[in-house]
Amino acid sequence: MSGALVVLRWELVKLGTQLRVRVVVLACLLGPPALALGLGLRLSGPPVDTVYGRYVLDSGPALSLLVLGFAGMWVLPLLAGVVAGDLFASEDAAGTWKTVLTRDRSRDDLFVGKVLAAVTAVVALLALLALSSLAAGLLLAGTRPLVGLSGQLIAPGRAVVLTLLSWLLVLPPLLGFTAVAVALSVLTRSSVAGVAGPVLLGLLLQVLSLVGGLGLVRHALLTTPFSAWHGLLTSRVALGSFLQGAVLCALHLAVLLPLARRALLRRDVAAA
Amino acid sequence: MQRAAGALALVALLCAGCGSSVTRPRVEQALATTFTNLYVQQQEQAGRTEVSVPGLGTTASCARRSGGEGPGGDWACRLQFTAYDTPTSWVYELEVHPDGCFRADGPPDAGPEAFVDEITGARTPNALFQFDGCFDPSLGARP
Repeated sequence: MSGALVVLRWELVKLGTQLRVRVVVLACLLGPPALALGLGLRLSGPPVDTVYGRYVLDSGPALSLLVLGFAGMWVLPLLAGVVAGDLFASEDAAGTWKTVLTRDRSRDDLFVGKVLAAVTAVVALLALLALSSLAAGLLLAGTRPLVGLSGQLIAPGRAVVLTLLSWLLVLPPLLGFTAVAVALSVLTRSSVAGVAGPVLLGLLLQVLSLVGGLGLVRHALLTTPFSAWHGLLTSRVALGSFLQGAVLCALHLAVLLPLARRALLRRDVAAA
Repeated sequence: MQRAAGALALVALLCAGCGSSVTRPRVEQALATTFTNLYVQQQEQAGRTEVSVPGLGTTASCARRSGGEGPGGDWACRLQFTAYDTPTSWVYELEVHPDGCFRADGPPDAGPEAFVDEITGARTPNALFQFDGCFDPSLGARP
């Protein structure tokens, strides 16, 4: 296990030096304040087409929830792709599998360490986006009561707590998309597929659930749990969508990660 | 792997018409609750505290123009409530999304005006003219 932790540390260092990752970190940090500035200067009206868009100037947490609703569409799959899609394929691109595997780390250590690095980085980016958007929203609109999704008024302190919890609830599908990126990165050996794959999958599933008469099949799509946080903000708190989504995401992890691990363990590196 | 994908596609195809999370009772109940909460808040902002959520007795009856249930932009709902001893009936147009959230639009002429004057004289957007709401779309959720 300590071998995996060494890999984890090195992979995090490597991620931190990548331009792509740095750009995403900056976007998570500065995107929400830029949005708040634009709304504050009335460069555009409140975006009423997205849930909580109409309340961004009335209550601080609304901006954070607007960003959360928007992020679930394609930003969060993009975070997963940027962080995890390149982790394995970059060793193929650079031809470094032989080098890393001749060290005293087993392939299992390498796989576990890289996956842990992806999870750590993705969670950190999510936390960054959550805190940045909440801070920007509070600066923009202050701490007035928030209108809930049943029209009820939520006291400011409770609204901040519920907003942070809402961000926590998107963790399962975010980890699901991270597993998709890991699997693509190992199986296709292509960084492009690993990075862009999760985004395209996310967009495809969004379009499917919007236009298709999918009915209850919608509950089986990996993008559906991204909206489970709505249940926290109705007057009767409903966690059914979150729990069902968590099971769905656990299934994705249970299928995709062993698939990727087996492919990596069986790969003939010497011949490559 | 391919067999599993095939089975999944088959189930999806068979089940495509077998129900939706967007049902009429869920839409009606969520709309009535949301409207009532917003109405009472608006009256309180205007200094009129004699209305209450249970006192309004709001009911909603909804239907899709195309018939049936499910997500779509063609839901129309009649809201009936009693405020200040006057029975009132307003019609809202709803766009209901697959994720269980909806946007309700009041009628521009007969329904709530776009702006209301508060006690302060300030003009603010009428929260009842257009608003959002959500219901629980999970499997097995009430009602």
